[in-house]
Amino acid sequence: MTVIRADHLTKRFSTSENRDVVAVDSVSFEVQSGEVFGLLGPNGAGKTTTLRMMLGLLRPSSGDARINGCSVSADPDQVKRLVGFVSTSVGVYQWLTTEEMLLFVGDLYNVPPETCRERIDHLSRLLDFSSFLHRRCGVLSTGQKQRVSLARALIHDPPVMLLDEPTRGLDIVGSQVIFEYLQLLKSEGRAVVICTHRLDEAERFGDRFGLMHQGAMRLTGTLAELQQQTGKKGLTDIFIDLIRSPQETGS
Amino acid sequence: MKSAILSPTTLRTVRLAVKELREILRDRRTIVTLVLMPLFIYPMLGVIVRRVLLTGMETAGTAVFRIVMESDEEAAILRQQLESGSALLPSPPPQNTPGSPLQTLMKSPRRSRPEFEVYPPAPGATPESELLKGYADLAIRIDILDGSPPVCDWFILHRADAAASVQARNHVIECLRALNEQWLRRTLEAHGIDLVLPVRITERSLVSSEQPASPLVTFIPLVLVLMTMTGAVYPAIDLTAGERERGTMEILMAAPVPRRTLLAGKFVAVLTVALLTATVNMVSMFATLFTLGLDRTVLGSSGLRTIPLILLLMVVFAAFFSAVLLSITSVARSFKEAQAWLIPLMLLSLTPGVFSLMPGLEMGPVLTVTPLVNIVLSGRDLLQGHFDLLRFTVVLISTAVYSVSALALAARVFGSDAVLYGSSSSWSSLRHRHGPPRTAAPPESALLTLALVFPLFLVIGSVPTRLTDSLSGVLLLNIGVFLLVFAGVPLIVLKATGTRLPGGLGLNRPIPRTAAAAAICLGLSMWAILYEISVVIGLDAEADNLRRSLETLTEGLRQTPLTIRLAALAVAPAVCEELFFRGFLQTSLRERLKPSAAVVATALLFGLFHIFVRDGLFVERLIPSTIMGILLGWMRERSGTVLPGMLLHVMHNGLLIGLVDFQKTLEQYGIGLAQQTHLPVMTTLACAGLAAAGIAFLAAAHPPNERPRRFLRPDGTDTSS
Repeated sequence: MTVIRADHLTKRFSTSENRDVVAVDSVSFEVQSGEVFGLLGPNGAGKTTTLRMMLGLLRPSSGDARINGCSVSADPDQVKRLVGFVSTSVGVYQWLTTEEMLLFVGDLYNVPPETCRERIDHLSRLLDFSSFLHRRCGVLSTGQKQRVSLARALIHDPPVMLLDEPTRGLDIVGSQVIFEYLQLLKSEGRAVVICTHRLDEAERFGDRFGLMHQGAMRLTGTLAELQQQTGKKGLTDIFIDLIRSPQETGS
Repeated sequence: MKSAILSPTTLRTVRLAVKELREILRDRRTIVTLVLMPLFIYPMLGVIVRRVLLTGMETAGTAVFRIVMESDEEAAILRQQLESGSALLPSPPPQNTPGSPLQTLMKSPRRSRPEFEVYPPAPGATPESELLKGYADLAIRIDILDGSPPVCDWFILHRADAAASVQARNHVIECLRALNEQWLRRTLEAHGIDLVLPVRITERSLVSSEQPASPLVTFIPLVLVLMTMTGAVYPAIDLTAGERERGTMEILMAAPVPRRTLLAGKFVAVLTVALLTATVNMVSMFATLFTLGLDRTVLGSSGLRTIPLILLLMVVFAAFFSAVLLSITSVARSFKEAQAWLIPLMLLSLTPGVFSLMPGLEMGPVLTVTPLVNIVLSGRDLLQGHFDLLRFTVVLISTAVYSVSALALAARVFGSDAVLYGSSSSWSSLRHRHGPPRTAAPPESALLTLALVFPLFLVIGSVPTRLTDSLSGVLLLNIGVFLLVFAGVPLIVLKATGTRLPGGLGLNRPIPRTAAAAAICLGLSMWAILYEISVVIGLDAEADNLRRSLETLTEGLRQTPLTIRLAALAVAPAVCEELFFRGFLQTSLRERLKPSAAVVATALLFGLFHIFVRDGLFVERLIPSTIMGILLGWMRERSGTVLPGMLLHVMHNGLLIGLVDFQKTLEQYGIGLAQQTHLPVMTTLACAGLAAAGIAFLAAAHPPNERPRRFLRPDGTDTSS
């Protein structure tokens, strides 16, 4: 079942020199339930902007995205209820305990306190953060903060997950936590979009991929489909070929 | 039960505010700064103030004057005659009520008469030198002349520039006159003459039960306002720019909660902390005064009764300032950038606050609705026992209106795309150059420069009069001051930020003909328009300008060459102010604001600048100066350069000086500027016609397409190509 549908999403920004820059140029793709879609590309390709438009954080200049049939342009608040978001930065409230922070976020999504406590209990076992549930977030390690951040995105049990560079700054153990997290999301039937520029990692956890460059979606498909289209073996080779291709860069 | 009373949005706002407060108050630094500091500082200050007051009173009560005399024999005569004379003087009236707090505190009877300590001059010193060095209050020599009885000839030396010496001299003279009077009376009686003097004096002193407040009381509202501001600054930055920097703002923005509700929660939290600070300061301050027995001495008979009204003022002010802070910090992209934006705000707030302490400053209609100043003056009046219900209500309502406006502005910018995901900048933008040269100074750098220039001008502006007595010299030095402050400082900032010089000062284009024509028309006519506006709306700003010019144009100044006067009073201020305000500041603000908003913001700052003069605060100048600022700003936008504005400004200033010079001649033609009457109809109509022509020329000028809007592909290619 198609849960996420991005339809010609476009975003223009005004720079301080009063010039408009097209950050995302008519990007379209679909994601099914239980599928992990890797949105790939180098820094500045427009991945994060695409994700933010799908979440309702940024208003698209044109085009639209639908989550479970709900338009992000028409009803961004309803879309936000359906989406869990893991940001690049591990933003935690320094002076709240892990439990207080998760209760606060649950309240933002109108999750009743009792249900929220049950979810915290469930997630703390799944993501292994029971030991620092009552510790202040400011004193947690980077890996611990990452776990809290992952739990925070799931506190309202959303059918769709958007992850923006979740492995940035993490060591191998931290990256493995993310990998297991994605497996969990997949097994629970959630539709997942994950942005990353680490193509080797993407091959491990992605079902389908979208390769973005200079704001536009250049290729989409499974790894096998992409290999067939380009004649290259891995995502890294495919992407380097795509970037160097003269007809692509000039268009 | 609770939810039946409060709406879900209100409950959500309260929960958000509670969470924010929990975070803020768990930070011990906040508690120390906001709560413990006032609890420590005020008692310490109170003890010092009491000590100073008591010392002053003790000194007055136990005055001992030192008299230098050459010989012991003279000293013995002096003591005997002064004691006899002093005994004849009437008792001094009581100066304090028996139960006054300070006397109770002192617990010692007030001595009514001074005492004298007589000593010989040091070896090698003379009585005069002892007196001049300040060792003695008086130097006295007594010659004994033969006669019956022998006559004592007193030679008394005192220092006219020392208060204690004058006081000692007065007392000695009183004693000696009393002795002479007694001798005269006795002599007349001995000859059987009953002395009846033509004047009889009966003296009685009264002490009012309405004790006036101490001059110290004027500082209390300003201190409270400053403390409230300080309390609100940290949470306002932390809950907006700080959250963005820590990456938690996205958590809030990703949640299905309206932005205005999120902002409301933050506003309540900031307001609560500001009020907590204000309350702790007030309680600590007044408790200190009360416990040390200084409440009546400092606050007067109104005493502590005014506290609830002062607290009400603080509540309204805290709401206003919290909203202003949030509207500014919501724009900032980092903690440091927020601090950079707030420094000019704090300085702009402090300056009128401090100026409002000037003695004799009355709260007129304009000041009643001037933010911050109205709070400080209301507080001052309340503590001095002057309560005007209507004025107090206007202060509360106007401040509340400003609060709502600032909050509405904050709601527009809070969490907006540009703020959340725009490029970040910080203090480092003041010195680091990134990429190609800028076309304008970064707005935060420009605002910091503004904050520097305001006080700098007030301080450096006083220097010429201290360097030379020559009026021509002062005027010429004034030109240097203007160049240094309004051209030199921005030049340094432009250089430091890697901004192109002609463009950064709005000088990148020659003067267009239509704009030049507009400048000439408006330069010839605006004096009359502004003057009539001032007269019509009841402000005497322009007339006041002229009056002050007249006052400063003393005969000496009139004798200075007209060229120097024009250069110092017309050309230099006009050129330098245009370079700074329309060139440097407005060009910079256009980087962040729409052109129209940049014009209005610059004009308001221009108006504010003209309020401050070294001798006081001229709030009446705000409206005419701001109108002029809008016109000059619009001219800079339409022409793309500050040159026509300079021309207009120079002509305007030059005409004002000319009008003052030829005032007597003008009065013959019915133009009585100093009398603040309407101009003759023909003059007004002619100037209105000229002004209309100027505006028409300006409207016809084609604004330069300095920064054409175009779309760029991510690879940097132009979509138009």
